[in-house]
Amino acid sequence: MDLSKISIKLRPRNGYAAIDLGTRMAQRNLKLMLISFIIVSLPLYLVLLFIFPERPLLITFFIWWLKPLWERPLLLILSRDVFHQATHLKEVLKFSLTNNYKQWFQSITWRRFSPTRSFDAPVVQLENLSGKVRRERLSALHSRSPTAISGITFVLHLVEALMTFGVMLFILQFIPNDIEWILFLEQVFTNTGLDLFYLILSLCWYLAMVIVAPFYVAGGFSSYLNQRSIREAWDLELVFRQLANKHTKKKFDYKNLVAALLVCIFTFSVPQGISSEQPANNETTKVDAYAKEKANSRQAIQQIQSGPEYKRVEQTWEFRKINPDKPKEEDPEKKNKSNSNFDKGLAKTLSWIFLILLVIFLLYKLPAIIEYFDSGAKAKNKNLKDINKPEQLFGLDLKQENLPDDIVQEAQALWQAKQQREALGLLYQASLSKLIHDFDCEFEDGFTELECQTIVSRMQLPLKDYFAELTSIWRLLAYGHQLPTSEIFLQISSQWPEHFEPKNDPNAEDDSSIKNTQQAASQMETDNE
Amino acid sequence: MLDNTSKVETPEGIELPLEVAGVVPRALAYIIDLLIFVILNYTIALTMGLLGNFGEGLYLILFFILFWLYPVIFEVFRNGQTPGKKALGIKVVHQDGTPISLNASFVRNILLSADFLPFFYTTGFISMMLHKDFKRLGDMAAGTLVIYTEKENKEDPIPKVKPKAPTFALSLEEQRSVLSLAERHQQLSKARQDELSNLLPEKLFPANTDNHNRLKQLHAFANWLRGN
Repeated sequence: MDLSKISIKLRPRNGYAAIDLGTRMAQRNLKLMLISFIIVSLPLYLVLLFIFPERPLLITFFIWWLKPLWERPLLLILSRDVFHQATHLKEVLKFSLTNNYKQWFQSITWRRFSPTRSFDAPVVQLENLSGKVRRERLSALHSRSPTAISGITFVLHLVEALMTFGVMLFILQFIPNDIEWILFLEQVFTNTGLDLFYLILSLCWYLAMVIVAPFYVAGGFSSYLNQRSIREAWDLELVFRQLANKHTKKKFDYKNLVAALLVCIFTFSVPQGISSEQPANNETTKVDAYAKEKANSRQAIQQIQSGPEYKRVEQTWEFRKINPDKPKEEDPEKKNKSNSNFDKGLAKTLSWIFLILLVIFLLYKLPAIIEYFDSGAKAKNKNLKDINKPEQLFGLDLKQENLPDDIVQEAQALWQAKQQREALGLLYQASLSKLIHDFDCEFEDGFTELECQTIVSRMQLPLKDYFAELTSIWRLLAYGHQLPTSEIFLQISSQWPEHFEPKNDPNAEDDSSIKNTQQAASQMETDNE
Repeated sequence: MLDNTSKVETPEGIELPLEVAGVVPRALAYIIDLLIFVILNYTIALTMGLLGNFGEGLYLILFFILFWLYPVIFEVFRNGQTPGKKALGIKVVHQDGTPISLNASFVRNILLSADFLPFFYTTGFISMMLHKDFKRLGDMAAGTLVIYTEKENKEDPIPKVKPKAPTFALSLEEQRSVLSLAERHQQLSKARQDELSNLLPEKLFPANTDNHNRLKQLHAFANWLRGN
């Protein structure tokens, strides 16, 4: 086994992800695997169908029961593909005729219904383990994610069953009831004692079996690889080996390599090598050497098999009775009878109480439930709202805290200081800021003045006419460089508070603002003169 | 290299691997959701049955809403996870990895009925088993993926040794592997750890480091890499 030739990405995966990788492995070899499964199982199916034509379902059931044997060639294909080795159909055939009988009896009897069947298969077929060693090896490999391993058996059996009926309904849908040939066929079938329905069902079952088998085998094999890769850190080995190659270049440290490879190599290749290798020569020395080597390697194998890769140490704890129990001297039947009426009443009452409590609980928890579903959306909305409140529009700072307290006074002061542009700018800026923060206008970054105005008038705010006027004056000044007259500015600035400022005490406010404007007006007139 | 991921490339040229979930976890998640649906449906039917004809009508409306909107509501508002998906640690996202939108969720769940045909999700199963990213028809139409939720990346403890800078240059992957060897020090057998550290050529370690101390050296490097 040479990890540098491996064709799957090595990394520790969770149990389900390993199965998914298996699905991709099956997809890559799907055609070959389907054909192989059909080649090895179809002959028997057809022969049995020919011999016992009146029992089609039973025949498929028989084929189904022997499925572990049909799956072995598929595992062969996959185990080669993992190391970029292509398999030919010829080899599959040869394998299924000669090498397919390892522990066949166990695999179709008590191991047939093991929920981890496809996961366990490689241990027998590729690692050649049996008996106690196999059991301990399996329990060591099962220690992680056992739910996922049986999950694949459960789900794919379900898929197989559902698909059987799915394919059958699909076929039946396409057979019109009134076509004559079907009547003719039916007649043939009834005359020969065959039932068309059961025959179709049998075929569909077989078809579903063919479709599902590659994915089942691949899922189990991939989980098996994943477990080994995690336990033996294959991913690290690959990287370290590449690193070593990079540094040593041509010089190779065979000693280390041999030592490191021992555990890995042996599992896939050594036992097979032993079983297939035969002494070609009859010379006694060679035979002796061979026997010696065999003994040595057997010893090595035993040594390795006593190692932690083949054992599983588990700490468990359980409750134990400290005092042996004292048996109660009562006739259980008698007790049951006397209690049964009482029990019924109690159960009824309890269930009513439970129901009422449940309703109360749900009502009580209703806000929390709504919150549960709402929280995600709310958080999103909240963020959106905050984000969408722009801090700047066309270069004007719109943060509330950066504005002066008394905007009108400030603006008029600026105007008198001949900074007309700044004065009107401040007024407009303050208006936008108020619109965003107090009136909740949804301005977005990059809006123009007219777009803001459109939004304000669309919202039907009472100040929309005022804002329109302010906007047009501002635009004339900002882009057209046309100063409004002092009267217009005064008028518009004195109107500003009544539109934008909250009216706590309208009379007092109005008075003071009127006074202010009058004063300012008279002052300005004198200035102009 | 075969992997169970779907790669998304960002405009910056960064490849994000999304670990796609296949038939088995998705079927199990669906079974859990189906059980919840049946229980909810049964409860509603029992309650509405008490209300006579009106209740019957109301039940039909509620059934319609529950049947079509149960997955949509959970997927859109609960981070792409129905209760079943949450139990299995998977979620729905757009195929570019962004959170699922209402439109996409609606499309993929409406098309669940197409995957159902001709009998109990035969089409869906076949489609998921044959598609590279394990998509059913609804996923293809809506442009969505079902992926594993990433676990929080909590740091595994590594043996505390006095940190030491590696004596040789390490690529990112090699750094990760050295760190990972230290992180897995409790999962791997001692013999295997020694074996792995002996894979590295001698000259990478300080002179006179015997085989047994190499692992310790690597742990020291790991401590340095983590910044302890």
